[in-house]
Order: sequence, then C-alpha cells, then structure tokens
Amino acid sequence: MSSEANLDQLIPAWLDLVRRSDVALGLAPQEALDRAERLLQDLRSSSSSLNGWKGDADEVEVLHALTAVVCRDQPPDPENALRDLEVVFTYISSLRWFADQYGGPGELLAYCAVHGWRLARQYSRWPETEKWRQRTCVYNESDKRVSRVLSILALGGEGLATELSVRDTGLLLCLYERIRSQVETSPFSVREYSEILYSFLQESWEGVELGDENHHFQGEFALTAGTASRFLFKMDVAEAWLRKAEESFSIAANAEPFLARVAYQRLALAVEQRKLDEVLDLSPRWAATFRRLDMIEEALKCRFLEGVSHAERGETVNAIEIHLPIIREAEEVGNTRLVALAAINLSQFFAELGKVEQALMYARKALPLLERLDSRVHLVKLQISMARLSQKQGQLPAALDAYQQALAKAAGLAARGDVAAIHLVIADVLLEMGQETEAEAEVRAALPIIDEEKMVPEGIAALSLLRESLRRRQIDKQALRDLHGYFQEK
Amino acid sequence: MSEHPGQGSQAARRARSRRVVGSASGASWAALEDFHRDFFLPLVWRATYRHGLSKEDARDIVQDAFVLAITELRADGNPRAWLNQVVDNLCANHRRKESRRTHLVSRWGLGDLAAEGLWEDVTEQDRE
Repeated sequence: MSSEANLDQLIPAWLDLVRRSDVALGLAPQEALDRAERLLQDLRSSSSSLNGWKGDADEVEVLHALTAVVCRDQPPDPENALRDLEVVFTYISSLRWFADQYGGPGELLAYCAVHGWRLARQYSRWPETEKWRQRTCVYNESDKRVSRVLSILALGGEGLATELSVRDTGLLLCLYERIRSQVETSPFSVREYSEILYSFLQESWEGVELGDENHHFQGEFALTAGTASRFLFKMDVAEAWLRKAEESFSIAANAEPFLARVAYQRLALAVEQRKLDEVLDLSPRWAATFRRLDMIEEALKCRFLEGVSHAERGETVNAIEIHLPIIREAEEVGNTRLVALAAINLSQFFAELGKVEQALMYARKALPLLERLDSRVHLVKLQISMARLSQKQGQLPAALDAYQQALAKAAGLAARGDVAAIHLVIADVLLEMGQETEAEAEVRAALPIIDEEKMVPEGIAALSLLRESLRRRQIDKQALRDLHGYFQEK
Repeated sequence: MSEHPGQGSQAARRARSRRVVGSASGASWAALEDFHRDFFLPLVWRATYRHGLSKEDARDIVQDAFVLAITELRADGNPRAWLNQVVDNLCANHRRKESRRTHLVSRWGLGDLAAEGLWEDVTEQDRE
C-alpha cells in the first residue's frame, strides 16, 4: 500500500524510473468502455453478481470507464440517467475494496454523487436532490479543503480564489453544508462567510460555462446569509438577503423547491416581526405546497410556525394541538432538531396553562437533544422556559440562576436583542427578590442595546422597571434623571 | 503494451530496484509498484475516461502533475485530492489547447502541415 507520507520520496523516484522505461497504462480505452457498457446492461437487469469481483486493475479500470459512461453531461433522458447512476453508485458502494488500492472507491462514488446531484437539482424532485447532495458530502474528500476555505473566510476572504474554484461543485456543496449547519451555533460567522461567498461567486462566474449552477449557489449562500441575519435579529438585512436568494433561484432550473425554502424563511421572519395574521394565513398553504413537493420536513416547519403564531396570540390550546402531531411526525422522519424545538414550545405552552408536570416532561425531552445538536440559540430559549417555570412556582433563586445561564449563552452568540430582554427579565426577578440595586444594574446593562437596536417595547419595560425600583427605594431621583438624559442625549 | 513495473522477472525486478534505489531518493521497487497501482493508474484513468484523453496524453499529464507535486504539494493537505485537482486542471488546459489548435487548422488550412508533423515547429506567435 502506498503511503501518502512517503510521497516526497516516491514521486522523484517514480519520475526518475519513468524517464528510463515505459510503464503499464492498463486496458485500451475502447475495450474498457465496451466492458463498462456490458456491465451497465447487467446492472440494469440485476444480473451482475458481486461474487465475481476480484478488484484487479482491469476491473477497477472498467469501473472508471463505467462512471464516465453514466456521468455524461446533458444526457437525453435525465430520469434514465439518474436510474443508471443509482445502480452504478449502489454497485460500487457494495464492492469490497482493500483500503485505497487503485485509489479506492471514494473518488468514483463522489463523481457519481456530484453528477446525480446536478441532474436531480435540474430535473428531479426534492428528496432525490437531497439524497445526492448528502452522498456528495459523505464521499467528497474535501474536509481539509473546506477547513482551509473557512480559515480564509475567517480572515475576511482575501485569497479565496487560491483554494476555491467555482467549477468545483463537490467542494461548494460540502462548504455550503458545513456553513449552513452552523447557522444556529455561530450565526454571526455564518452570515459573514455567506456574504463573502455570495460576492465571490458573483464575481468569479463570468466567462465560466456552468449553466445555471452559479445562480443556484448564489441563491443558497444568500438564503444562508438571510437565515443567519434572522437569527441575529437583523430583520431588514435578512429581508434583503432573502430577496437576493429569490432572484438567484428564480433564474435556475427546477426552482420551485428552492423558492419554497425562501418562502419558509420569510414566514419565520414574519413571526419575528409579529405579523401573525400573515403567518396564520400563509402557513397552511405553504405546508400543503411543501407536501406536494415531497418536502415533508419543511411542511412540518410551516405547521410549527403556525403553532407559534397561535401561541403569540394567546391561543395556547390551538398551539398545543398543532405541536403534538409535529413531534410525532418529526420523530418518524428522524428530524431531531424539529422534535427538540417542538418540545421546547410545548414545555412553554403547558407552563402557561399551569400544567407544570407536562411542561417539565417536554423540557426534559428537549434538553439532551439540544445539547447533542449543540444548538445554543435554542438552549437559551429552553433555559428561559425553565426559568419561567421556576418563577411561576415561586422558586426565585432557581429562576434567577436559569436566566443568568441563558444570558451568558445569549451573550456568547452576540444575540444582542435577547441579551437586552433577558437583562430586563432578570431585573424583574431581582425586584421580586427585593434586590433593587442589582435590578437597576441589570436595567442599565440593557439600555445601550435597547437604544442601539431601537427596541421600543423593551425600552418602555426598562423605564417601568427603573421607576418601580426607585419607587420601592423612594430615592435617588438623580438615577431617573440620568436615565431620561441617556435617551434624550441619544 | 508497455511493461508494468510488476510484470518483470524477479531478477529483472531486483536489478531495476537496485538502479532505482541507487539513483532516485531511496524508494524500493515494491513501494514504486504500489505507487503505480494506487496513484499513477487511478490518475491516468481519471484523465482518460473523465476528460477523454488518449492513454499517452493522460500519462504525460499525470507525469506533469507529479512534477508540480515535488514543489507544490503541501504536507498539511490531502495529496490524493490535490493530485486529482491538478490533473483535472491540466486536462482542461490540454483540451483548450487542442480545441484552439483544431480551430486554427480548419481556419487556415494547415492540415498538411499538421499531418507532416511540422505543426510543432510553428511558433505560438505565428499561430496567433
């Protein structure tokens, strides 16, 4: 077995050898292609057996020829081409290889997977596209390159072209997958990276003939930037990125599932902006559209937003009725994240109805799932929910502790809106505990954020809390004057 | 067909091995056979079947990739992925060059020149 560690010695020795003697190049290409065609016929009719596979040079070369046969650009019948890709992918992945002999099967499988994704995205349905995308990320040997691209992005993106080519679909898919998976844990970095990549793609595609793939990837990175902006409570920025995503996807082929994903983000944004009537009107319709497109998880997420909107309007029983089947169906399709989010919400809803046992049951269900997913945004939410439960039960020190943990996590996420709101809630608990001075300190910590982020309801709450604090202590009018002065100066 | 590094007699292999070991960086014959199997051949197949090159052009391109690797290959990367990428780029350049050459031959009627093998003597400047 060739050791990759010895390449610095092997390559010069190899070049030296080849200068003085010929080396074997394998089969004649036409013979390999003929054998590949015969193998493909056998695979189509399920008459090829794995038992005869020896894994010698000729057989592996025929597999290379076979992948070239099934990965032709612009096949006349994309559906048949996808079927061929499926049988070849399944066949190669079930062969027994001795480690990386003849390069191993990974490269062949990655080649099939990228072609499968390209065809499926343009001509097939969402689950097919997703299947090939996931396969690409499993078999593409891009881990180290993705890490290097991320390091460049972390430094502002200078020199990105040395590591990233717009022609490298496999790398772009893996990069997109890695960045998207961090949207909840590191929304700030995700937004920054996505913005850089969007601009990079926009500038680099000129003169490169790749059909509509450029528009597709621009759409994906714009959508990720929009989602991350929503997590960071930058609503206007999120809206602008979602518009860019829509524009890019609209130009690409087979755009409906991708445009629907933008529509879902718009709905989620509408929830944040408290446009609840709009969400209640559109969610069931989009859920039906997602089911028509075989996008079951997205359909469940729409119902989730519908449930949240009911809850925001104080219709807690309706919210519970919608959430219960979401948990069941999300478990069926294996979407752990959605199970966890629905469980957090159910915990809050039952708490509001005073059903503490059920509230705790769903909180306990959510906690390990969120920790496994390292979903810090939602861990903040869960800790707030558990703090509220403690507060309701009159366990103020426990409530204070849980709110402070939530505050530390929110601060780590740079979620400034959440940080300000949690400071105010902590101030409220401290007032209940008779700790007016500490409560004032919490309100003062929230004020600059409330001002910068123009959080009007939170500003009113801050003033009320401060007034209450001063009334209880019957003192220090100067503090109140200072606070008024703070807003007037600004 | 050219001789495979692993196809010769034991004595011949030992003789070659000594020659290689003596002249090139201390790599053993067995290691070179493995290198031929695990790196050289997969790259030649990649260039042949994915990029449509003849076996001989594929071999030359893979050799060019190895020459580049001596100075450019990074210790912290994935050498196989790097070599694949370099071979892909070199194949794309090769095909662009071929396509430009075909276009010029058909435009300027240089078929006879090409057939007689004189094409290579025409300078790049003349061709443009």
